Amino acid sequence: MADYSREAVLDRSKKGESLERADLRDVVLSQADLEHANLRRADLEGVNFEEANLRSANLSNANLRDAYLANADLQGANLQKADLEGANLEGANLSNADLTRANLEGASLERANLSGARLNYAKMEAAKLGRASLQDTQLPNADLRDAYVGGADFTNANLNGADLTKANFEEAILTGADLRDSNLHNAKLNATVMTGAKLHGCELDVDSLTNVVAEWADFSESGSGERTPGGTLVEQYHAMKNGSSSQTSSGSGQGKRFFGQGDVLRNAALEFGDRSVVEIESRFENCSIALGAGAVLKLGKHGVMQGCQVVGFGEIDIHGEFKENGKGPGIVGPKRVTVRKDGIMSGSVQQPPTMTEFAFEHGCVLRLKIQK
Amino acid sequence: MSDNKTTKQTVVEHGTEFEGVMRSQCPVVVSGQVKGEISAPSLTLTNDGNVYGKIKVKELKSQGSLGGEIDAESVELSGSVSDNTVIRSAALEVKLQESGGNKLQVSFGNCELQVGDASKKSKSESHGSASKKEHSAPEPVAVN
Repeated sequence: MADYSREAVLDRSKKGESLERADLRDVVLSQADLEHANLRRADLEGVNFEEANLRSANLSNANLRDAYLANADLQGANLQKADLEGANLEGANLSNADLTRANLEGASLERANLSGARLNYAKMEAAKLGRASLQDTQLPNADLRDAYVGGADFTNANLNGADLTKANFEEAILTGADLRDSNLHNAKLNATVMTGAKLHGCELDVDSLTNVVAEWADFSESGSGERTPGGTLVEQYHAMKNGSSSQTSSGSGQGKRFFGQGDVLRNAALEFGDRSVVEIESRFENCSIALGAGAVLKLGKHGVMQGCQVVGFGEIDIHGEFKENGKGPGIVGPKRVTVRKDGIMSGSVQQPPTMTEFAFEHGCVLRLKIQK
Repeated sequence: MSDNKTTKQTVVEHGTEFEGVMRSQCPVVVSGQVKGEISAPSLTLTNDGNVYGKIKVKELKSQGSLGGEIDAESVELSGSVSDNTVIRSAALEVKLQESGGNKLQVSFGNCELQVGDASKKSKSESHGSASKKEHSAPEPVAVN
């Protein structure tokens, strides 16, 4: 027995009263006006919402398994972590909706409008998205294995790190889409439009590229939209796999430097160029290090930097120990600072105007002062 | 979902502002705004949650805006951390942003993080260096 009748649901929604955690199974809510309704964690399994108005509704963590949402208006709705397994969303308007970590396994989203929606980490295995609109949709790390996305429009969508294994992209449009670090193994790419798609780190079957329609693609690591010069898509893909795609005309600092375990470097001034990769397993004492833009400094598990200062818009990845001498910020202007689970960071970070991206793994040790 | 139905929580909902001292034996969830002192087994800030003050909890998860003096056993952060904030915790986790977008997973103001026990893990001593005297006992850094 449901907690409320259809009339009671509409009445509560109209008054702005919460329906959080309500059990509404078996209630028919087709064409219902539930704009801004709070249905968070509600049990809506199998509910008929055909053509319902659910604009900006809060459906986070709701159980919508096998729900019938065909042609429903879910524009701007909050569907974070909602369970939509097997749900029917054909023709639904999900533009700008938040479906982060939602479960859409086996759901039908044919012709649905998902433009601008967030589907980060969404589970969409075997979902049907034929001719759906996904322009500017955020799908990083989404699971689209075995999904059918034939004829769908992914223009400028973000599929970074997505698992697209065995997905069917026949005649889909991936113009300008970010497919970096995604997995397209065994995916069908017949007549798939991929002009300007970002493909660095993408895993795919090279033969499938011969079926792709693309004037050019972007194989750069940064995915800045730069046109990778020379050769066919297949040749450019091979070049990228061989590590040469990021060697652009300005790549003066490209290259790896390694400082091995047991060595000690004292009072040195070191400069590393743009996009260089530096790995330190040694002990550095009172050294001054300048990092070029996009350079990566990895302080390995055995590495120790004592009393050093690192300056520049690079990425610093600390597996070992970084300890400043208190004379000034140990790290100045970094793009990113990551301290891994075994890492120790003691000192200060002076952020650049664009702010630093920080990541700290569980288990790391910090005595850290962060300055804007 | 059934678990959440049975777990009692203290919830500060959207649109609610609270100022004062809150002591709870239940997990506290904040989607509104709280200014003051909170002690509880756990504190969760949703995207819209905003807490500034003295916080003492075992477990803290924040997706919202957090500031003040925080003591916890474990902290998971996203969202933002205000100026003049000190976080003391046995463990801290901050993940990188999920997408390649412009939004930071966490934006830090001027703040201080004291996480874990440095004396247990220091690698300096095992490296056979001249600066063995540099022991890695916690060195609190002054807050602005």
